[in-house]
Amino acid sequence: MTKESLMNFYLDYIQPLFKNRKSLIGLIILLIYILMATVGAAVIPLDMNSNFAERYQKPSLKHPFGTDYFGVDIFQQIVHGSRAVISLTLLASFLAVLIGTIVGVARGYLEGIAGKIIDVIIMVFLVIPSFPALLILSAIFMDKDLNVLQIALLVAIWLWAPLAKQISAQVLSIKTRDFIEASKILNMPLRYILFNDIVKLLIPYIFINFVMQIKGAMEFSVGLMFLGLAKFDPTHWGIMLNYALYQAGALYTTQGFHYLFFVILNIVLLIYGGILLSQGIEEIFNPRVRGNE
Amino acid sequence: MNYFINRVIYLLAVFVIAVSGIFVLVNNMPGDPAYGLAVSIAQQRNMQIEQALEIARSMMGIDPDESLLTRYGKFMSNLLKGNLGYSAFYNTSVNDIISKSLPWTIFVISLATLLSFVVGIFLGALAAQKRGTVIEWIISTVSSIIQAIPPFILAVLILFVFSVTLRLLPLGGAYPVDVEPSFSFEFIYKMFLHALGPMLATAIPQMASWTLAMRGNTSQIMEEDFIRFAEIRGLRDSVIARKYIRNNAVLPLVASLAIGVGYMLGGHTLVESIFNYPGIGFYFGKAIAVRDFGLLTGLFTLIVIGVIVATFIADFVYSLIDPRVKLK
Amino acid sequence: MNSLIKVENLRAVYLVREGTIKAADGISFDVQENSVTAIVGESASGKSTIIEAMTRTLPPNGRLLEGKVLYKGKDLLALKKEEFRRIKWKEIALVPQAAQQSLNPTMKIIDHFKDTIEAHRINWSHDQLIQKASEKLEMVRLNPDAVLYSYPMQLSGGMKQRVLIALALLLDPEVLILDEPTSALDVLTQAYIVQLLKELKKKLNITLIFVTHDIAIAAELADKVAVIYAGNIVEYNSVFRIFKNPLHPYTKGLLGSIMAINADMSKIKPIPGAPPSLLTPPSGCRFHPRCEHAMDICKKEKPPLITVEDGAQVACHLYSQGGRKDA
Repeated sequence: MTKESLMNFYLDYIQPLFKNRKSLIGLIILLIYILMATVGAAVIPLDMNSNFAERYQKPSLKHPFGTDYFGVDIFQQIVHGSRAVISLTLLASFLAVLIGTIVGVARGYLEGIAGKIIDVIIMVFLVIPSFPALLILSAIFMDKDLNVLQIALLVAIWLWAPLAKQISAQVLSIKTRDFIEASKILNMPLRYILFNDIVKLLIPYIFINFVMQIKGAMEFSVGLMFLGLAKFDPTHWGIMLNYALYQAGALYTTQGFHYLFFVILNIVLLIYGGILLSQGIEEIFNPRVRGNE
Repeated sequence: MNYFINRVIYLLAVFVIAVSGIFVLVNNMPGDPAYGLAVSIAQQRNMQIEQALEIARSMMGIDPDESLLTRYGKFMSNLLKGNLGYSAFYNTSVNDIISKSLPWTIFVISLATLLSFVVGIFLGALAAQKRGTVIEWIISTVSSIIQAIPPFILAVLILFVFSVTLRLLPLGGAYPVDVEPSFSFEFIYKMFLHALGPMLATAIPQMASWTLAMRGNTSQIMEEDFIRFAEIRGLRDSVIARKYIRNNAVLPLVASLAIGVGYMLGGHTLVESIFNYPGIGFYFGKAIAVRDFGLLTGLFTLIVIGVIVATFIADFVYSLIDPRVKLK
Repeated sequence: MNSLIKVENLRAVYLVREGTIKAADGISFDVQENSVTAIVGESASGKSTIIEAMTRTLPPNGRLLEGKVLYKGKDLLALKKEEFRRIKWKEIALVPQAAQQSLNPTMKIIDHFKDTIEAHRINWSHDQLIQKASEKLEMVRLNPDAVLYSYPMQLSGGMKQRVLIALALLLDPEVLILDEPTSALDVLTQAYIVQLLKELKKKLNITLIFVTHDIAIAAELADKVAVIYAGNIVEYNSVFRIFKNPLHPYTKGLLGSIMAINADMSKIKPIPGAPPSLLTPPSGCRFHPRCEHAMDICKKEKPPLITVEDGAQVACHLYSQGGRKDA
């Protein structure tokens, strides 16, 4: 890792992200939430004590997002909840991409029956509707206390398949390209062929996919929490959503709307940040997609 | 023909693996599958739980001493006969529940598919044509934002805004309780009204996705040489837009129609629960809540069948309309 | 003989991120009725730009700065879009490069013909259409029964190219313009197409203009040749005289660098240097950096295209009206 190769890496992959408007905004949004999860949660206190006198207060200077049914400040909960949300989502996305890449590359490399078997497995996970399957899986484990890694894995199981399919298709087509043949002819070891040539070409895909997984991982994990199917940090936004809707009867009175509103706002904003970033990355690597220039 | 036989075998294999996987998973978890039913029987008939368990087991056709393999065998043979299992909570066959609820889900999903596809295609083509204008920017940005809203959250918002606050739409159910089910205009009208909420919650996210996909396709096609050649030949813009651009751009989207239906079915589960709409998703949610694994497995099998059939039909239809595939 | 088409001072550029590419820098030439004119130049010399500008088919980043294309007394570039659309194809037909992608993949060939006549409000009956289309397909040596009801992907590259030509001839145009009719084809098919064009030239009363980088094709088909270098016509002469007695240094260099099977390898001289960037073209005569006869004036002033003798035209400071300046 010479200084020069680092510089090249920065110029090729990192700098374009700052120049493209969409990816820049997306990055900023994600960074805000990551900051919220790391610094914010440490800085802002969390007072979960019920204070019925203050319940359902509208947003004000004292309570930027208002208070919930129990009089607890919503803003504090959001900030603290971001820790759970970000860690779970990023972990799930990472795992999904990891599994997807490994399976995809393996499939691309294996021919014959082994390859076909992997194909079927990928297809199985593509065909099974992910969210219902996730629900079933969680219902099975409902009684157990799961840690972040386990929940992330549960979610990731239903996210890796599309990436695996894409990657396997790419690897299969790349395999026939001339320079890989050249590597083989020059007798370079298999590992060299595998990593240097193929992985380099796949990096944009993987990157885009990781960011897009944020949307899927968020939807699934928030959905899980919303249904109360996984015991987790009670400040997780999905669980807050559950409280907002079901426990506190926000549905039947318009009083509690701000509660619902702010939780939803943050969920949507975070996902949107991910979408913007992935759209920006797509524009960078596929110039045809750009809108007006 | 060969291609189709291959495809059928392939999808069949996928189906078997998927369903078996879920069966094994569900049946391997700790706890007695007959427990739920036994509890309600014991309560109803005021008997000891052990007796109730026996009755429950015989009702569900479960023998506790059976190995997983035998149970699996019974499950698969039942499946071949068309029997999807037994619901402990509702104390009736899964097929029974399906016959009550499937029509509603099909009703909503069909409407949602139609709406999202047609409107999505239209908006996407529009956005591509008016590239660089405010209209395109609005369509693209709004579609992206919609994509950021998970379907069930959209459902909550729709429910809240239209039903609770504005009182425009009913709060739940497939049809109002105060009107007699019949073919009267009032009933049919109310039926659509009740379906509107779930339909929109499912259709809108999918619509956004079609819009962006169509915009992408159309933009790409517009730069193709054959468009240029059509212009050179003096063809009118409207003809080019229709026959050359749109037809070519829509084709790949038809192929992904099945996948779209799959996604909609997936998110629909929660949507129905939120709207209390008595379709497959609603009962699925209920089964999760009360841990009725018989019902869960049965409904899940049904959903997998549905997705596979949809995939197959979409493949078939696509091969008919795309000449490039037709002739292979 | 009267000129059917008169191009006057055509200037066109392409807008790119780095600036503007000055691709057509004051092109003027005449095309006589029923003649075959070849526009010859290297890649990126601006020869396609001329065609694009003339037929109003510049790409989205192309801009026509000035110029006139007079056809039957009308300036094609000044016509309203709808008026031009009606002349397009009926009188002047353009066969673009890269036939591979020019046909709609989801439409049969017969439908392409149908679309074409419908666009020009021609009321042929279905049978008439088939008959006319078959006629044109036979003219390009294709079998109508096999081709008419096929989809583009079922045809080879050479066949598709010929379909384009048949489509171009459908409405019996006065002018047929071909952009690189033989590139992207294998040598055998190339020969075939050249044969075909020769036949068409004999059989039909048609004016042919084609663009190519292959001098040999020009030699076989053309009556007059216009040599393009860096966006300018440097020489415009009859094909015979260009080969016998090239005037412009570039033309001489071009002919000197061609390999012929029976030529003496030692006599082949490539032109030193490389074609200039049209983004920042050289001052004055754009060929001066590579020209062995370059003089001071060549760097400062761009030589105009002047008629030297017997209708030969050249743009070079070595020549003045009526003859060569130096011995």
